[in-house]
Amino acid sequence: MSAQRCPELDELFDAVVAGSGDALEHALGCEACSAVLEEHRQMEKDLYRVVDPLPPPDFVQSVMTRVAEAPVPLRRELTAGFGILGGSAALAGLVLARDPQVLDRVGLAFARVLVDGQAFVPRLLSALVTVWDAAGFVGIAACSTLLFGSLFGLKRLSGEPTISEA
Amino acid sequence: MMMAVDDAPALPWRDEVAAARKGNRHAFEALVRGVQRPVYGLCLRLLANDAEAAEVAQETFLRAYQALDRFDEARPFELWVLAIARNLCLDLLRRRTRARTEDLEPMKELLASQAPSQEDAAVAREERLSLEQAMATLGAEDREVLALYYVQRRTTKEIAAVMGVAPGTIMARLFRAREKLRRRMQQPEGESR
Ligand SMILES: [Zn+2]
Repeated sequence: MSAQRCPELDELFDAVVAGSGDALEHALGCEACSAVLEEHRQMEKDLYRVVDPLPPPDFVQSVMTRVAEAPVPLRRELTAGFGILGGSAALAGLVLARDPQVLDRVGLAFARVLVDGQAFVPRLLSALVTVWDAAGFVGIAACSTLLFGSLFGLKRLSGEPTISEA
Repeated sequence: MMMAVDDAPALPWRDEVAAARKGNRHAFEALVRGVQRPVYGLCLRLLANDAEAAEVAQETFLRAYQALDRFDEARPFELWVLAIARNLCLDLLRRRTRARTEDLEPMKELLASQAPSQEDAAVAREERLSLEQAMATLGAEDREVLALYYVQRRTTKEIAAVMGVAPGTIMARLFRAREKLRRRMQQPEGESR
């Protein structure tokens, strides 16, 4: 029997963890506190005997089915994409470096694209001016209707929910 | 959440994680097999419902698969997955408490699902049932810390990593959970604290 008042349980427990302290000394001589500590010890023994149940037998299979259906993570797709891009670029470079004739032809083609491209812009502009003079607003209206009509149709066909539905 | 691993030389999950990251499903399957029991066990302990536990545990592995690139290999794979599982469970519990308050009914399912134990003493079994019944009436955090420490026998550091709290708080949490458990077991049903 101890003369002092019983400590708060938190205090008692801190003393138990620390292995010393007034609360622990009190508990050694106090029936009530010793009984509480003993109950905790017993309960710990019982708790250690509890085991995790087994998952359902088809658990792993279900997980793997869902994994197979899941979209490939974006990062992995990007890695693969850049891998392919880099690989093809390296291969192309190798082919070019090995055959000077191919290099000549590629250079020529590239130069032609540049020259044609320069001529392309003024021609496109003059064509637009001609179309504008001839058809003007009617042409724009017709083109817009066609464009938006097609887009709307595509969206319907693809079956994607529209924003308002989602 | 940070955690240091002192016993780092062996990282048995590293090769499988690397293979799984490259899209090797067999490697991921091996990872799932390795940790399915503690993951499902924690889910069941937290949710106290077979079907929900299986569903959330599956969802856990799916999320892990999709986030595998973000996994830090220096951390134990198992703890990472357990942390995902506990977050999903707590989300579900939060949604559930919004719907209804307390129910002891799923306990039947929990008890029916227990793996048979090696010990045959009927007395020990009775004792364990009442212990688990009492455990199921505790709050999620108490159940979680008890399950991780006693059932899964994890260190306080590991538990801290899963729960995202300071390791120094675990022993006190354990004590508080045990104390609540002790009181529940002393009292006839209904009363608490
Ligand atoms: Zn006392």
